[in-house]
Amino acid sequence: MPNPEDQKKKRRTVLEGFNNVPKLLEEARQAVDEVSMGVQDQGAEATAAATRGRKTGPKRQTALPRKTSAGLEGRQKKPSSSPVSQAKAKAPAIPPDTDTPARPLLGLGECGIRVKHAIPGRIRLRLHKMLHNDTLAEELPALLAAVPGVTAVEASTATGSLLITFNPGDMAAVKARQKLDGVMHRFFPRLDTESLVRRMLGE
Amino acid sequence: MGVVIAIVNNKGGVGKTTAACNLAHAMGLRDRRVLVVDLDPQCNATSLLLSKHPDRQHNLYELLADETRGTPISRFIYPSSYAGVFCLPNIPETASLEPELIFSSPNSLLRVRHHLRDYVLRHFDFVIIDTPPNLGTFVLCGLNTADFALVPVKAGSAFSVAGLLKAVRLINEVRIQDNKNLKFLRVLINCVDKRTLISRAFTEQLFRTFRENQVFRTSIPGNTAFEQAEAAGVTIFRYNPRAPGARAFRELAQELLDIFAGETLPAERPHHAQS
Repeated sequence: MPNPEDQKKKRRTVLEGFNNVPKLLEEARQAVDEVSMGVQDQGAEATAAATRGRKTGPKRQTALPRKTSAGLEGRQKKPSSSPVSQAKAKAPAIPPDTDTPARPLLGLGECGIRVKHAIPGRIRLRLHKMLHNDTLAEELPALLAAVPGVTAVEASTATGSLLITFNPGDMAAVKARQKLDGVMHRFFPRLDTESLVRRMLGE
Repeated sequence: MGVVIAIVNNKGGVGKTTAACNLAHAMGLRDRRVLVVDLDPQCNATSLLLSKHPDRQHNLYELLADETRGTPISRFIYPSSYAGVFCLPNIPETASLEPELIFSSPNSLLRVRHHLRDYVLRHFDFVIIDTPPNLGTFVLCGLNTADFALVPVKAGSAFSVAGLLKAVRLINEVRIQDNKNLKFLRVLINCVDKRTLISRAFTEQLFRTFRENQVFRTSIPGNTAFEQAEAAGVTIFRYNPRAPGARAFRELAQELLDIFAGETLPAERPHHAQS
């Protein structure tokens, strides 16, 4: 039987030796960006910007009506109209940060998320970012499981699949939405979480 | 109209020829007409695809030397033993043409394009150009002819990433100078061995670094069936269609078709030899 300590040591050595590869890859990606300049459509550029943003964590758009407590409270008080539209209407306009240009939120597809199947109480997503990404596959389900209303989360790095089982009634609550937004924001800084919630609730 | 894809990487052994032949066969199995242009004087793609057609009168040498003497381009293309897959063969003597191509550049680097492009775009859905493991004249000929460049990298190999970097820089130069329509298709991760830490870390890092539209979702596993198929002189689909490598190439073909969905609209199809 191999000694676990030796195995750990070996693992450390391998990963230390691997250190220059990320630099090379980053350089290669920048070169690819140069090639892509002017040959890809704007949609692709937007997707690219979103994907790139996941590392550097660009400042989230400040003028987000749905993020303000006023908007969310307002939505609760008047359930007759659409929660999203009402939240947007109620929210005070916050002037965008002058240092960072305003960047609009992106839809699911633009963030590399595809909805494979959705019924009330269960949604299966495909996350490109989670392919072969063990870290994300461990962290995201753990955080999602803590969202009120979420009953189970399963992730697969082989397919990038994320299966979320939830209680639709609980998920509609403001607290759950806020918590979900907080979790998704960590990994998808420009994702419009409301679009995900709408798909989850079949709205 | 079809699309022309050049498979390029400065590093050898990353799976350019394997990808070219197996991807072509996978496309052929999906009822697409695919032409493999063997620009590598090692002629491995030629011997894999045309092993049963040793009597080839015409080859790439004549095109590169500009010695076609009015022979129609269709005479240079031979059907392989796989349905829907054709090959424009090469011979080892082509290597000796390199000095001449350099001296008479830049026009000589566009010869393949001038001879081939119009014809192959009308008659094939996909044209895959297999290039040698360098960034020399043959690779330039290939990039000048292509619409897209695909760069395979070997999971775990830092040298292949260095090759990727050099290849991408060359692609950019070609795009600026001679072939403004050349685009970077995607990186293909090859030889993935999920059992090894270095391979897993490499794959994860690559997916993390590149954008979604810069790397193929499908990666090709390291599979002994590739070597066995190579030894048998056939593609992996003929050797063992159930091998993990064959499955991966099927998925890759589907992914490629998805990428080009709506773009590959084959024009009229005059009967071309046998299929």
